Amino acid sequence: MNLLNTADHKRIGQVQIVVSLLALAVAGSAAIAVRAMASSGTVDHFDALSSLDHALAGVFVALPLWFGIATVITPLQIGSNRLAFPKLSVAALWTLIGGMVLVIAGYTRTPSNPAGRSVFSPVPLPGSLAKFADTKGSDLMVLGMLLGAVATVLMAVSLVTTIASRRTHGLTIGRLPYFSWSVLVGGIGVALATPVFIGGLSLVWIDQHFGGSFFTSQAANVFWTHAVWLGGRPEALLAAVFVLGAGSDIIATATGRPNELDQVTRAALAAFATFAFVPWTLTGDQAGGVMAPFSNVVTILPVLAAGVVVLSWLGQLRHGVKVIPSIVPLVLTLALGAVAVGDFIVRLTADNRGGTWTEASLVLFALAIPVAGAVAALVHWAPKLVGGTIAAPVASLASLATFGGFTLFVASGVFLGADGAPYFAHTWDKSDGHGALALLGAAGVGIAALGIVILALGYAGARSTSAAPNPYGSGTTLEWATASPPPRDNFESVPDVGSATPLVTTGASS
Amino acid sequence: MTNNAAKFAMGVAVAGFVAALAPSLLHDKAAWILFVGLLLAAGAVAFGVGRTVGADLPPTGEPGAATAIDPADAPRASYGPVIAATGATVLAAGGALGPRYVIVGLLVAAAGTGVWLFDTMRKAVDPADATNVDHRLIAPVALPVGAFVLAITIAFSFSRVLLTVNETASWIVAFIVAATLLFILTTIANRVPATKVVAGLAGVGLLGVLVAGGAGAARGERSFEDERTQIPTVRITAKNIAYDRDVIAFPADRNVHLEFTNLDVGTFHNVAVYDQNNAPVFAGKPINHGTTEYKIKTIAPGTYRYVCDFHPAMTGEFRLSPSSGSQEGSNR
Amino acid sequence: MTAVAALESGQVRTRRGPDALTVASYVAGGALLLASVAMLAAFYNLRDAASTWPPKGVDFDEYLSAMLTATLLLSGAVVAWGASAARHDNRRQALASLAITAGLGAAFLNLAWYTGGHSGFGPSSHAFGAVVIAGLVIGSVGVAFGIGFLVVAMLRTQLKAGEADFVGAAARFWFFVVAAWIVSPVALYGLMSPK
Repeated sequence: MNLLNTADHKRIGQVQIVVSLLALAVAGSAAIAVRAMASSGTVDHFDALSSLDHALAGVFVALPLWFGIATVITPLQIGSNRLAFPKLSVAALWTLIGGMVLVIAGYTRTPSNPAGRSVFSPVPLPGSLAKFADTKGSDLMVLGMLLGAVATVLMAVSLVTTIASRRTHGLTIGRLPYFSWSVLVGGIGVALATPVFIGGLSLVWIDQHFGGSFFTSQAANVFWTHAVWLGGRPEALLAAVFVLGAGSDIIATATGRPNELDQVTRAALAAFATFAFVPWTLTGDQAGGVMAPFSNVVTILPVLAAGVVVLSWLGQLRHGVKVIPSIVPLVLTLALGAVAVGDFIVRLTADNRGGTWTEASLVLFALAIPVAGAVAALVHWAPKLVGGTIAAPVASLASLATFGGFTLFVASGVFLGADGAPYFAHTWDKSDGHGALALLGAAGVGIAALGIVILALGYAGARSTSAAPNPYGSGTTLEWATASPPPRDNFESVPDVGSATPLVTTGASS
Repeated sequence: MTNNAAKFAMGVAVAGFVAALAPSLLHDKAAWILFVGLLLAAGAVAFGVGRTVGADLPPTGEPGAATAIDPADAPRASYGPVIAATGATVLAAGGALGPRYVIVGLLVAAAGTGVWLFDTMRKAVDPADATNVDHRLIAPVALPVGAFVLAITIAFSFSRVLLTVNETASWIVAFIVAATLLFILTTIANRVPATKVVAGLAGVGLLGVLVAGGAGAARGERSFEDERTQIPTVRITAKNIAYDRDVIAFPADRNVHLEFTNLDVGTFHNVAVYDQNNAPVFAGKPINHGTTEYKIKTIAPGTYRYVCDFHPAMTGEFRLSPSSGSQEGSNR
Repeated sequence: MTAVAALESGQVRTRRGPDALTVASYVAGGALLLASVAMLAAFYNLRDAASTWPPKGVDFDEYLSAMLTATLLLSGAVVAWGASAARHDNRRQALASLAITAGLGAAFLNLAWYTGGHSGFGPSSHAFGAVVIAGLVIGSVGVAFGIGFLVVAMLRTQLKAGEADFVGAAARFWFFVVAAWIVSPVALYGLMSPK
């Protein structure tokens, strides 16, 4: 079917997954370039490069990637042949692509030496916004992010509506597969959180384009923290809801039996999506200084909710577990989560140090964990995406590279920050071994990218094969009841659902 | 009548309420308002999802039963969304590149939305209604919309012509057009049959108006000197990293214009005005060559400082006198 | 059983899920509401940090903001009539009331344009100006989307009977448009005590 006019949710989602991984690749290249050049003391086009990196990584990767996976998988999970508003999803996808084009066009038009990083520092640099000589480049970047944010809201509306209105007979909301449940609650969260970002970006654009003075007033630093800085926005945590939801489904498939703690898992997923709003409680006390993400006590709440989800997984494992290919990626995602919790605890007790640490913590939560989790999900649902399964060794290698790369990247930022290294800038002090640490970060991004490439190779291999409808033999939800890859209408007929594990009760999984 | 999704949204609303009560937020009004807003919006979603989805529709499922997928239920393909999204992108680019992109973006987005609607609706119309689509669509919708577009086009072209020619000529043109309109309307009112001659005359007339309008728009408006001179304007030039004047004086409490020329090609300069406390009052957009006009909105009387934000040594006094005195400026 | 066989044997059970448009209008409406709340947060943040309020030199006309609010409140009442008419399958009244609502929305846009042009300040004048203009823009974008939704509802009602769900969803979204305006900085400006 034609890519441009398709209304098939599977094609829409596949294109969206590829597009958000491309955004990750461009952002990663920019991150590598900044660190590689910093290790030599001077970064050419620093502002443009770091803005490109942050604009793409902050808006176009985590949520669009997960919404892409959800666009393919949730209609299958709820026994529907389509999205409720497929054309809305198509419009959102192409708006996302348009936003990416604007951001990249903005990069090419950003003058080599504007007055400062404007878009993704925790607080706006006073005077850095209003007085650019030629604002076209930075305007395009801000407007591109704005389009990306609008597209994200549209995707959330489309998915929430689909889950609410297109479930098959007997599939009550309480029986939704965990991933669909997480998309429902996380989608509502995104629809309520991202408009604040859109409002903030509108003000940034007004300040830049018309030479306004909102963000150059000291008072506005607080608002910047809430509305523009990723670490102060719920979106930093919301992508992790989908990781937990997909992880719960992977565990359900690996055990192949009903979850005794079903209600607990659902409640904890919903609680995590609710507590994702705690970044708004960062009250901007440190406006003007470097502010850390997740740096107050209330941040413990989402960590606790995630902990309950993971405990419910462990509770299921005692009945024995089948090692399916997505298990290793899921475990490595959990390991990244453990690193993040450790970072969070050190953050709570330590003074704020360099800005690179701040960025590393943020990247870990808002990007590394969602991407690592997406690797697990892409491995798990590969049969429904392209038809074949990904071999376990390939999946493990891909996720190991992703995990290792992100860990190196984060370690580089943490060590630089702890050592008091300044934030990357046009000219950068590379003494005290900081240059080598910057290179380590660049290497980390490269290794993580290698992981994605390995996954892509695995996908290329899986395309030519056609797996059984339920290739792991123990899928419990409706997506495993249809062929791999699913036919045009997804199902010929959908069995009525009587429990949260329809394939177990109907015996189709045996 | 509720379901888990509504319970979740209600939970978010309650969390927003609790957070809004937290004493630590009392000195961060922005966060406080965001949480109150979350309470309202999540509450609305909870109400809506609870009421619409009800007690968990679809409720029934029978063991062993299955629902067949109706192939006719497959969504229809459409180029509308991608066209609309392209329009939205061009529209957004207009925020950086100028109003032309905004207009083009709006038109493309409207066209895309039209295609989208058409593709969604074309098979959804009841057969009984489809038989008289002409009566239902063309008469009540297309005719008024078409007439509106035609009227706007003619009015726009006509106004371009009036703005381009000189005052006497504009009177004559207006008289001729009014007479022509009177003639056409009289003809229509007398139900003169639409022969080829009449239709041809009308077509030629319309074409003439459009061509004249296009020519007028291309040539630009005549100058309205008397209006321009009412806004006080001062010219200032930057050359060799220095302004050519060290005092700019304006009458206070009214809009004024500053015409700024930068002769240091390749070096950015601007004119920014700060008050006694160094708080910004006005910041002109920097240029690295050529001339620009800063439109400065009303500023209170007093003595300010103007400076180039790139070169702090380039500075001078910015005086706003309360009386409506004439413009002045001491040249260096 | 294959789909074709099921269709032939008349065993297809129609999928009677909840109305997708209604759910979408609530979620999208909630999103719109929070965009407006964000503007109010920025505005109140500004007031909180200011030593004098309204800032020096600002002479903002409360009459215009009151007129804007009144226009939208009126349109909210009219659209409720339209939704009710559509529920009773009265196409003529539904069409008329949706058209009046869209007209009031257009009047709002015109008045918002005028308000922006005659406020005596622009987005670059001061932080106050930037937020007020942004609030006007976001409110107007919401109204523009609402008008688009109403026009589509009118078209569908014109073409096809029994589009009450669609009219209801458009009306509901319009309520959110009105609510989003009511919590916007321009509408609430008058309630913020001077200091």
